Amino acid sequence: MTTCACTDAAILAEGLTLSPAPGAPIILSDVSFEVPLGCRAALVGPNGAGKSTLLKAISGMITPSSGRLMTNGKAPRLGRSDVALLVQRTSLTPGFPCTVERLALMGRLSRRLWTPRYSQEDITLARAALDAVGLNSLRHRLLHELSGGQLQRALLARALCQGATLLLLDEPYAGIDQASRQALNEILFGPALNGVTLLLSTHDSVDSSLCDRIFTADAGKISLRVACDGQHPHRHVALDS
Amino acid sequence: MLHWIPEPLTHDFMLRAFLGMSLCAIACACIGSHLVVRRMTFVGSALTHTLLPGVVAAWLMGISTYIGAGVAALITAGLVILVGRRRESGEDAAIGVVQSALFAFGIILMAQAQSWRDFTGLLFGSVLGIDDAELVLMASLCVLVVGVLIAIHKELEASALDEDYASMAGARPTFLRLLLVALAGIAAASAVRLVGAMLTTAFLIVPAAGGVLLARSLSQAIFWSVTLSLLGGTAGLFVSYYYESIPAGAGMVMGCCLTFALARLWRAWRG
Repeated sequence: MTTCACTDAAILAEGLTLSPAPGAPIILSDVSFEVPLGCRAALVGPNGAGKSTLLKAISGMITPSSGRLMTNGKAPRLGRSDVALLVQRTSLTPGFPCTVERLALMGRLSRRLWTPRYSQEDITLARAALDAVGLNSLRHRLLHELSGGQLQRALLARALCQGATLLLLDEPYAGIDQASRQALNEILFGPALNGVTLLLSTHDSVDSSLCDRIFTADAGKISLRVACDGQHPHRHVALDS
Repeated sequence: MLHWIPEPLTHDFMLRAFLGMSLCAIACACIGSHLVVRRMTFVGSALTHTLLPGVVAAWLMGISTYIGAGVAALITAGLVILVGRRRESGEDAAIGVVQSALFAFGIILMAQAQSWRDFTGLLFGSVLGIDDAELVLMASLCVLVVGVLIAIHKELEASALDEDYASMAGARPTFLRLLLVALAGIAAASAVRLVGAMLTTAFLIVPAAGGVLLARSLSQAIFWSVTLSLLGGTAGLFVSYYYESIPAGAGMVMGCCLTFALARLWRAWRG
C-alpha cells in the first residue's frame, strides 16, 4: 500500500504572486501551500484559474512577481533534472517526425545538454520508461500515429526517463476517453511512480480516493480541499476496481 | 552508351559547378530540414528578399558578394530579434516587416548603379563561373553550418518538437531559433552565386519539404533532404549543360522541385 511520506516539502509556496508573463495581469495573488515529498496531489480549477501558470513557475519557466517558491528545498530554475513538467499535448509541433522511443529518449536531455549524443544507457532507460507505461511495443510508431491516451503515456515516459522526483502534469486528462484515463491513472497512482511527488492540474473532477491532497484554484487563490497525509487505503482499491 | 553522364565533369568549369552545387545542397538541405519541421519556412522566403541589399551593396563596393550576403543574413537575424521581441508583433510579422524594408532598400541600391543588367548574375545565379577561391569559401560555410547543426542536434530536435519542455530542460529554445535564422542566412549566402538571390529559398526549402515526407525522424529528414537536393541539383546542372537555353540556376531549382514531386508521389503511394 502506498503511503504519503510527509516529512519534507517537495513544493513550498509562501505569499506567491504570479502572472503568465512579465507585465501581464496577475492571476494568482498571495498564494501559500505545501506539497509534501512523495505525495500525489491534484490542482483542480476552471480554465484561466492560473493552474498552468503555477506549474510553469514550479518548473522554473516563470519567475514569480513576489513571494517564496521552493522545489525539493531549492529555488526553481530551468535545466533542473529532478523536476519534470508534462505539458498539454497541444504544445507539440504538429507533424514533427519523431518516434515514441525518440520522444522518451528526449527525457534525458537535461542530463546530456550540449553533449554530442544520447548514450546506450539513455536508450536502456528510455525503453524501461516505455515498459512502465506499457508502450514498448509501439516504440517505433510516429507520434501522430498514436491515440490521445497513448500520446499522453508517451509524454509520461519522457518524464519518467528524465528520472525526476517531482512530476508536474498540466491537464493530463484533456482530450482522452475514459478507458485511456483509467490506464493513465494506473500508472500515475500505481507503483511505477512510488517515491515520486506528483502534482496534476485538471479543470475536470478528480477521484479524491486516489489523491493525498486536492487543491482548488479559483479567483486568484489556491486552497486545500482534501488532505489525507498518511495511509491511503482507497488508492489501490480504486485502481483495481 | 552512358558517356553523357561523366562527360560534363571532364570540363573544369562544370566540375567546379558540381562541387559548388554539392556543398550548397548539403548546407541548405540540412538547415532547411530544421526550418521545415519547425514550420519556419517563411524564414527561407524572407532571406530571398533580405539578401538582395547585401549582395548589391557588396557589388557596388567591389567586395565579395558572399560577404555582403552574409552580413545581410546576420542583419536579418538581428532585426528579427529586435522587432519580434515585442509581444504584440510576433516573429512572423517581424520577418514580414524586415523583409519588406530590406528588399526595398536593395532596390534603391540597385537604382544607384543605373544598370540593371549588371545584377543578372546576382539575382539569378552564375554557377558556371565559380572559381577555386569561391569553392574554398563554400566548403568553409558548409562545414560551419553542418558542424554547428551536428553539435547541437539533440537540443534542436527537442526544442523543435516541444519548446516548453526544451526550455525546462535548459536547452534555450529562443537562442536556438535565432541561431537557426543566422545559419539559414549563412547557407543562403553560399547559394547566392549558385542560383541567385531570388531563388535561394528554393534550395533551402524545396528539398527539405520533400525529405520530411519520407522521414520518420529529424535525422532521416536531413538525410533525405540532402539526397533529394543533390539529385535535383545534379539533374538540373546536367540538363543545362546539354540544353544551353536552360540557365543552370533555374535548372537546379527545377530539378529540386521534380525530386519534391517524386517524394510526394512516393508518400501518396505508400499511404
